[in-house]
Amino acid sequence: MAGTGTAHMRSGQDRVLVVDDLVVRFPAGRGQTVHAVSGVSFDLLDGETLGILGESGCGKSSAGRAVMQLPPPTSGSVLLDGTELTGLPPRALRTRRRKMQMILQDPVSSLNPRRRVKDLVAEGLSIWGTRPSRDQVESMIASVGLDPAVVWDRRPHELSGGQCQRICIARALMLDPRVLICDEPVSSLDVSVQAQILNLLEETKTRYGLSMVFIAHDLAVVKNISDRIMVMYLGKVCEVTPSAGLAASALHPYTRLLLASVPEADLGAGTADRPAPGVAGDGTVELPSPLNPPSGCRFRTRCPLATARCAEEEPLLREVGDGHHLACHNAGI
Amino acid sequence: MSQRHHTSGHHTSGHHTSGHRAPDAGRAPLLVVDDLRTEIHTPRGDMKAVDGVSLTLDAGETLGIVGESGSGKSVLGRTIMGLYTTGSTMTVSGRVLVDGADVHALTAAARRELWGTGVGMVFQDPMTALNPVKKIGLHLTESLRGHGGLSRAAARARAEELLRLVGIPEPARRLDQYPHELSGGMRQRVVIAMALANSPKLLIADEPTTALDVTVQKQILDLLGRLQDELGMAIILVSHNLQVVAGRADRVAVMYAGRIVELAAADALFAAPRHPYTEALLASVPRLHHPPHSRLEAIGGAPPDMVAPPPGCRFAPRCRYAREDCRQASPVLGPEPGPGGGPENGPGNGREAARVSGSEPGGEGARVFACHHPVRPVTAGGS
Repeated sequence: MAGTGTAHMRSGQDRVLVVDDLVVRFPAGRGQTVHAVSGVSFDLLDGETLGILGESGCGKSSAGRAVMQLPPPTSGSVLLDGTELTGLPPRALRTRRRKMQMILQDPVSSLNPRRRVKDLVAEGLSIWGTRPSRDQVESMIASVGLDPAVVWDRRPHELSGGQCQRICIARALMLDPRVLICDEPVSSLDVSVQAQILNLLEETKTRYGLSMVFIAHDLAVVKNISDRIMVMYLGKVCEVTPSAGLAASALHPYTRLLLASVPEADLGAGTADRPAPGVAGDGTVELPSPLNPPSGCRFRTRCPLATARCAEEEPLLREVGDGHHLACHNAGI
Repeated sequence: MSQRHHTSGHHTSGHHTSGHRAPDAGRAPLLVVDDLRTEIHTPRGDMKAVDGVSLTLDAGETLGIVGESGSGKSVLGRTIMGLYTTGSTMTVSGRVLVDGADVHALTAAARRELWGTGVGMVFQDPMTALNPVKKIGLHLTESLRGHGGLSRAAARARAEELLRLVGIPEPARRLDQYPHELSGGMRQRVVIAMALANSPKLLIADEPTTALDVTVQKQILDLLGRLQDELGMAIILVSHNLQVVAGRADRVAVMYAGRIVELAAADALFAAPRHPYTEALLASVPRLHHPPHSRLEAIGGAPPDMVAPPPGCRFAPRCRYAREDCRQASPVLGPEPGPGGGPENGPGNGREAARVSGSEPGGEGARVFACHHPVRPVTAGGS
């Protein structure tokens, strides 16, 4: 799993966000370092949704936050609409960052419990000195599917998780962003509410002409909302694939392991994009730690295809199909 | 290990379970839940968390319980276990018979005996289920020495064996580690090993994989399946995740607002749901085989406030098929009415709404649901 390559990067004018060689490290005490993200590159076209898929500890959230400069990455470059964000002075950074908004996993804790809905939604613009009109706030609340008359004076604890997530989306949209970064926005919600929020995000994206980075661990959710999917493992990119063919054509042993772990087949499902028979699940291996990631390909300790070469040489992303890139020495040859 | 419960008698347990006949005649089901109600007293009033649930479970069988948060599925699991009993904060009525023993009629000491040998439980969050200042070994040997009366050395040997059973590498070394030194998946294996320590006949797994990654989730579910085959225990698998339950359970109960709304064999339930809630729940799950950007069928609204649930069918306010009669009378949980016989518009008190048995003479496919206007059955794609 290397992913230090940039073969999957596209060229052209309509790239809203270009992230190049992003590295995030955290000090972990006793001279140790957590290698959360190690050289990840990706780009986002205007109107596109990029799904970032991976398990806990793979660096997907750290990558999303580093793009937001929260905190800034250890190294690497983040270009938003052609402007380099890393290294900008704080005031300039805040001005640029307005165009990029974030939706977090836990909607209840990301809202100030003492504020009312009307103030929560208006807060972003107020900070920028333009107190929005009541009409503006009401129509924004209505556009995320809530009744302004009902929720106007409520505080977060008087709302359900799904309603809070709608408020978070309204807050983000008030600033008229170009890019929405969603970090596990539906994983704390019930399935029925999850479907409501996913539908709302799709509608919003179309209506406001947004581009979206959607970070999640649920394969079906990511596939449903994304145009393109980037699979991460231990801070590296394994595979970048168009989402339509995720289950049928994914090649990386880790992606196949994820697909094999989804208990999907039993819901009386169709067979259109059934996971192809691939790598069987791994047993009870302890997972490697980001404190001391394996040499070469970071997935090799769990990989059924691993060879001696994988320990020495890090695989680079290479093109294996239309828009489909893979970082593996042994798969897809 | 369960002689102590035999005095209450397998032979006599047939009387009160006339509606719950087991398929192989003469053998009472392992678990009988009869009109169970758990009311939690809150400052706003009594919350009917579980409101008239009846079901049976045979030895070695797996029952899945699915529902949204607040549907009462976890409270049901804990009330069956006897962790929730009548006290100052809640009132439990109805009966739970585990292997003939009435869990809620037992003394506290006798119930503690039942935990471990009769019923074991696996909780959602393996970190909070383990004591952070106790070593793994002590978590296991404590119950082995207490329940099983094993010596220190014998308990340690058995603990090592249990860790091996749940697939933990280097079990001897793990016994001397603390919970924080293990990954989430390994911790959940330890919790499972603890639940299995005294070979329970029934394992209640409450969202056992919700806190875990997908690849680890599969390992844990596979492990539970393997252990069930090896040890022959029955499992109640409680989850909000339909996919987790599908394919692992023999029968599935769908809960909504404290009641079972549909109960059927897992394959039949997922292939052709009859209750509109089951149908809506299935439709709201994103599927891997759907093309990207397919619109999901969300369920509008929110589950009812269980302090003051709506009259009539509790799902009616969110149901796309709801008609006027749904808001008047509670539908009764039962099998499909015969041809000609219309839907039973009983007064719908909870007692009737609760006659459920998966092991009815009708056989494996016996399906019950509580709806006045069920979803039309999908005609099996024959010729």
